[in-house]
Amino acid sequence: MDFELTEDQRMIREMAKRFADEEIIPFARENDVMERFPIDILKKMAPLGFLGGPIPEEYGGAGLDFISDAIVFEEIGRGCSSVRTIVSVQVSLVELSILHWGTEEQKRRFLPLLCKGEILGAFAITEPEAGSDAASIKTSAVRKGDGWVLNGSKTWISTGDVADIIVIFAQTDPSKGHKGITAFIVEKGIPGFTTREIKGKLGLRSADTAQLFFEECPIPDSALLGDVGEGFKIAMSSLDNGRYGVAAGCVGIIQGCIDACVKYAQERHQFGKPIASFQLVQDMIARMYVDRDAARLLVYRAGDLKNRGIRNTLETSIAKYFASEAAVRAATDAIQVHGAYGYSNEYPVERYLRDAKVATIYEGTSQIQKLIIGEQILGIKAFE
Amino acid sequence: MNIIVCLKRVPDTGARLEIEKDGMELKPDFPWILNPYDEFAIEEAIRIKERFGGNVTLITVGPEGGEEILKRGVATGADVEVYVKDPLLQGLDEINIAKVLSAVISTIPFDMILCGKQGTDSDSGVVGGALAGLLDIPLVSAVKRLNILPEERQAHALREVEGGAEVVECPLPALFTTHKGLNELRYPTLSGIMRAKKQEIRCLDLKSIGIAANHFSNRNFRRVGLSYPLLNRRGIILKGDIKRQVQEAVTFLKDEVRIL
Repeated sequence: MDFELTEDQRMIREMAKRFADEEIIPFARENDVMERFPIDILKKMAPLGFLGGPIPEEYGGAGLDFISDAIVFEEIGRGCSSVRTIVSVQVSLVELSILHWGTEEQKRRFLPLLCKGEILGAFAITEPEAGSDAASIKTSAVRKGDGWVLNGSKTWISTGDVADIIVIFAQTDPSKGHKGITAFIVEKGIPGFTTREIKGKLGLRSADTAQLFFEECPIPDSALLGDVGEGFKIAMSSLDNGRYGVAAGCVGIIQGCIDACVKYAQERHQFGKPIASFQLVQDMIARMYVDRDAARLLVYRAGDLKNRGIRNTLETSIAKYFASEAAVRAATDAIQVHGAYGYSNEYPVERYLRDAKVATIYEGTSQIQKLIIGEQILGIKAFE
Repeated sequence: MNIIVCLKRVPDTGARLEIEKDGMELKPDFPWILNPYDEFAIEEAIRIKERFGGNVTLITVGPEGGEEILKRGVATGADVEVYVKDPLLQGLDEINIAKVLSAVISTIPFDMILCGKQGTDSDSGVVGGALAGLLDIPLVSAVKRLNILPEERQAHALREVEGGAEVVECPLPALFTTHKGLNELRYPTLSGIMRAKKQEIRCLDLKSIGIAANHFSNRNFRRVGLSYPLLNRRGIILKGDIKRQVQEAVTFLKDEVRIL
């Protein structure tokens, strides 16, 4: 077992760290306040390869291993979770789904454009009545002639309002339950497809979140992703990739909390000395530090399995559960270290807390992650 | 344009360096980086290549650790990496380093050579000049702007001089040492880093470039000791009302330490 990063992984961290420090962090606060989609940052990220990290070079990506991929997400997440979420959806959910389940034609058509940032992607499972219970989706796709007709709605879809293509999951045979779910790649602009942006979120305020509406939308057979009835399997395997990026991004939030607290605690004086010298302040920062290491190592373990092509649902769930809860803990304590100043957006720690919270909810709540873990321990499924 | 860029590995400028008890060497537990002035040389070389075509060859010499800095250069767009790696290069003086570089470079066709104006460790700024002398080509040092005219085989350069700037022209091939401000450094790309990982370094030792083991027996100088910088700390107590204290502080920063 080797805990050292390789030379190229160290270079990737150095490059991603520099990019986050220079191009993401200086704009994070204003984008958050203005609820402004960070398109300028994405335009700078695309030519550097950030929007196609683990995708093979032949499809326009950089061909990164999954540890490097986590390093990238960690550094972007340290800078701004809204940006990290957009990149996670683009790379982990949309591109990797097309890479693993798409036809050669779909890969050649969509992946280079996605990797170059010429198009943005979204991934749509959740519906108003189907959140954790993803198998109960009601959006339907019905055979008509050579194609399909889509009806229904989706909600809480990251990048949904601005995406050019959406990997969408629809019920094609309700009698088969989750085995009747099928995945499609839907392109923006088809008749009957509309979106509505969701505003007023607690966090991820500069990321786009939307509702999607499909009314008698005609889609061609070539839009099928995988086989008919394979959708649930595709969704679950894609979530293993999505959760991995979320977990790595949360390591970045914890690191951001540590950086902010170390600086503030050394500068802020009370009772005639820096607050860094107080045991109760050190306690909070030490816990963040331990949580960061533990979360990072859990992410790397899942990444190592991904690199070796081994199933990693359990390990990814453990990493996502731990890292997201630890990020909320770290951000809560980071505000405490900053006192009243931490409660204002003069410092980044309040944004870290608002952004960290969603990581315990999206792509499987912490409770769902624990049920996945529990099933492995007990051998009993808590849900179907 | 075929451009050669000479690179040096230096201790991280942010690292706290400690001296061994013998007073001769640094304790080895500090991070190394590519000499910051060399980064401007790589960037300029890549810009010239992008404009006029050709290739960029990176060369470094030393006993160990050169691979890392070469890979950084390839990740930003350089083409070839050459590493003269030999234990005999440990602690070698600048003139002899220039001789080693000259021996390698004489075997490679080139139009120009770029080096950082100095290493941030020794600050001697000798290697570039010595190398130009050994190769008998023009040297333009501390360049802050460089304009290449490939058809005329000429270069125009602006360099910083005391109190202003000087514009010079010279024929190619020539050697330019690069100063901060020459260009803005680009980010390496992720695919560049992956390409650097796969690319093979052309590794040479002194014997393979025709330098015998006893060649450096007559070194120009040898180190006899290292010491920490002298600390010259003094406190100043500002007096009077706040307005006067601010005035006094500004005067001190302007006239005495000259940072304003």
